[in-house]
Amino acid sequence: MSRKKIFFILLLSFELAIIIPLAIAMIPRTKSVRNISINAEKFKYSPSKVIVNKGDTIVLSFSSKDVTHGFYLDGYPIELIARKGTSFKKNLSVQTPMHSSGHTLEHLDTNWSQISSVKFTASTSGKFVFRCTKICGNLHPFMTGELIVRPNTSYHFAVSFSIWITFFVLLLIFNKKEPSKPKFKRINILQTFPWLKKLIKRQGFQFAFILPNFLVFYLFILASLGGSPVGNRNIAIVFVWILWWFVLKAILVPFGGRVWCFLCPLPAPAEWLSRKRIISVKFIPKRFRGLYHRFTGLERDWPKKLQNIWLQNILFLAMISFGMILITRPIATAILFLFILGVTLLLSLIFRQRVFCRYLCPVGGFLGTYSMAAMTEVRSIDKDICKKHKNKSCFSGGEKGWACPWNQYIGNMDRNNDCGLCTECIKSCPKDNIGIFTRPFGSDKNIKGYDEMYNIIIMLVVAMVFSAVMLGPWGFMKDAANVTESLETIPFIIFVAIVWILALIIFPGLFMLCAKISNYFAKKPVSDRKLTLKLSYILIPIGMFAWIAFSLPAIMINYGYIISILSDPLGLGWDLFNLANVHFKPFIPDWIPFIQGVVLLSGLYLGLSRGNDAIKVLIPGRSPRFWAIIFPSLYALLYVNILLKIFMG
Amino acid sequence: MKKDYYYLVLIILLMICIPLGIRIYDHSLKPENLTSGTKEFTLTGSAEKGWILGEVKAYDILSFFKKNERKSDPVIYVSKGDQVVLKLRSSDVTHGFSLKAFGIFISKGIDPGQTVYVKFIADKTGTFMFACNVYCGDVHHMMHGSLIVTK
Repeated sequence: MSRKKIFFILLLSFELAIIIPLAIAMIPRTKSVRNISINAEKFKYSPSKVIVNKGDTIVLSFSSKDVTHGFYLDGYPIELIARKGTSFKKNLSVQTPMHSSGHTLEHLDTNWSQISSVKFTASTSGKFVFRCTKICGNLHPFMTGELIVRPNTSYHFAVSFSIWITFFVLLLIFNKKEPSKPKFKRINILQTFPWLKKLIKRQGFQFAFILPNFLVFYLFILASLGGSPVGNRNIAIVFVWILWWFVLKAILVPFGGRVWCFLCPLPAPAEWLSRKRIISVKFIPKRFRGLYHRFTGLERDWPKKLQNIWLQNILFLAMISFGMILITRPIATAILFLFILGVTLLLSLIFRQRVFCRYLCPVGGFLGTYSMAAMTEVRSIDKDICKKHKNKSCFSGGEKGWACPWNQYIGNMDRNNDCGLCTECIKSCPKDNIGIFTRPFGSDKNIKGYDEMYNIIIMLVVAMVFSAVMLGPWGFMKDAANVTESLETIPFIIFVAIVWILALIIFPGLFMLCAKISNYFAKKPVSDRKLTLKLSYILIPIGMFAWIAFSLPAIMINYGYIISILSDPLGLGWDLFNLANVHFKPFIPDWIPFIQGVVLLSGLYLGLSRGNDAIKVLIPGRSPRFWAIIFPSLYALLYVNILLKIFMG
Repeated sequence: MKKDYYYLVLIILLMICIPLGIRIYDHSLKPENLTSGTKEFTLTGSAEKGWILGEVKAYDILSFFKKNERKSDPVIYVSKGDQVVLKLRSSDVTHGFSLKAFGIFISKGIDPGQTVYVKFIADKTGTFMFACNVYCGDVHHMMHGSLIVTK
C-alpha cells in the first residue's frame, strides 16, 4: 500500500472511532422522574448499580439495614448519612461548628438535616461511584455502588479507541512503517553526576536508605499490633497498602525497576546477620566456593531446580487469595511482615545471599518481570573490560564491595529481572566499569521461561480480579473475599478457586493458544515456545498500566486517610498537625473512570508497540510478524476491554 | 568492623527509644484541666462485644474470633463528688453514648479514630446505666455498662 493510502485508511478509521460513540450519544432518550431507594448494609448497597438517562430527575431515598452508613456521590454535591430508621443530608452551605456535645436524639450536627429523600437532576452523563463515608467495618473503603447516567460516552470512546489503537499498530506493522521508535538517549547517570558516583561508592550508601526505611517499617509493625484495629485508621494499612502500593506500581517500578529492593528493610536484618556486618565489607583473601566472603550459617546455595520464579508465583497467588483480609486488617499485615522477617532470618542461616528476595518474595516475582520495562538499568560500561578481568569482583566480591547478593555477573547481564540495584558492584569493581543508565521504556525483551510468562499473566488476572472485587459494586464478591468476617466459607473457596483457575489455566491457556495460532499463520518461523515467551512481552506494559489504573483511585479517594493518619499515626487519639479529623473528600473522583481509561489505552499502545519490537529480533519479516502478533493483540484488546468495562462501563 | 558495632548499637537504641518516646508523648496528652480529683476512664465501643473498658488494640482482634463469648458489661466505680472524664472510642463502626441520669447523649456519633471526651460531676449516688445510642449491629440493644457512684 502506498503511504497516501495508509494515511487515508488511518484517518478514516480514526473518524469512525470518533463518530460511532458520538452517534450513540445522539440517540434521543426520554426524560423521566425516577424514584430510587438505596438500602445500605455492611459493604454493599442495593441496588448497587443504578442506570438512568441524562436529564432524568432522581428522587433518592437512602436507608441503612445495620450500622451508620454514608453515601457520597462522585461528581454531584450529594452527601447523605443513614442510620437505622433515619437519614440525613449534609447542608453544604452551612459551616460546621465542631465538638458540640449534649445533642438531642436523632440529631447529627448542625449542618446535617434529617430528610426522607433528596431530589436532583442527572445533568452530567458518565459513570459516577457512590461510596460510604462512615467507617462501617473492615471493608468500609470498598463499599461502593455505581450510578450510570446514559449515554456513557467516555466509555464508548474508550472502547472504540482501544479497537482503533490495535488496528493502528497492526496496520503500521503490516505496512513496513514501524510504530514510532522512542528516540531516547542512553545516559550513564554516574558519568553525568560524579558526586553521585562518589556517594554510591561509600560503603554506607545503601544503609543510609535502609535505616530510615527500617525504622518506618518497625513503626508500622508496632502500629499494626498495638494501633487501631480499624484498617483506615492504622498507619500500617494506610501507608503500606494505599501509599506504598501506589508509589511502587506507578512510580518506582516503571522508572526504577527493582529500586524498591534497594531500600527494602524486610530482608535487611537477615543480610546483616548473614554478613555479620552492617556497612563494612568482610573480605577474605582466599576464595571460598567462588566468593571472597564467608557468611554465617551453612552457606548453602539455592537448589538448582528451584532457580526460577514458580515459587514466587504460587506465593503471590496464595497471598492475594487473602488479599482483601490482608489490606483491611492491621494484624494481618503485622503477621505478614513478621513472617517475612522470620523467614529471611532463618534462610540466612541456611543459604548465602539473597535467596528469599530472588526466589520466594511474593512481590519479588513481578518486580522482576516488570523491571524489564523499567527506565533504569545497572550495567557494565565496556563488556570487554569485564571479560578480561580475572577476579570478577562484581560477582565474587572485592575489598570495597560485597559479591553480588543477587548472584549476578554483570559482565553478561542483559536484563533487569534479577538485579536488586544494591550498588555493591559499583563499589567492588576495581576498573570503575559499572554505570547506572537511563533507557527507553520497555528495553529488556528476553523472557526466559514459562515461569516468567505465567508471572506476567498472573499479574494481569490479579489486577482484573482486584479491580472487580475492590473497586466494583458487587457486594457478594466482597463478602466472599472477606471470609474471616462474613464466614462465608464456600463462596470464599469458590472465589479462590476461580482466581487460581483464571490465573493458572484459563488466561495462560488462552494466551498460549493465541500464540500457537499466530505461529501457525506466520508459517512457523520459530518454535512455539520461543514465540509464546516473546509475545508475552506485550502483556508487561499492559499489566503494569492496568495496575496503575487499579491503584490510582485508592490514592485519589483515600488521600485524606494519609493526611489524617500522619496526625495520629498510632490511632491513639493524637492530633499532631490538627488534621486527624479531616473530612472525607475524594480528589476529582468524577474524573477517575476517564483517567483509568487513558492509562489503560496507553498501556495497550505501549504493550503492542514494544511487543512488536520484541519479536522483531525473532521474526524480522514484516508479513509473518504481522501474523505472529495479530492474535495476541486481540487477546490484549479483550483484556483491556474487560478492565474498561469494570472501570468505566 | 568497629563501625558496624556502633551502627548495631544505634539500631537497637532507636528500636527501644521509638516506642518509649511514643509512650511518653501519649501520657503527656491528658486533657489539660484534669485536676487531681478527676477519675478518667476509657470506654471503647465494639459492635461484637459491647462496651469494653480500656483501648482496643489491633492484636485484640485475634481474640474476637472466639465469637459469642461476650464479656460481662463493664462497671465503673467512682465516689460522689468526683469529676469523671470518659474517653470514648470506637473499635469498628460509629457508636453513640448515653448516660441518661446525667443528661449525656452523644448522638452525633463516635467514629473510629475519633476521641470524644465526656466530662461530668458524679453528684448523686446509685447505679446508673450507660448505653450506645447509635445502632451498631446485632448486639446494639445489649451494649450497656454501669456507673456505680458510692458515698
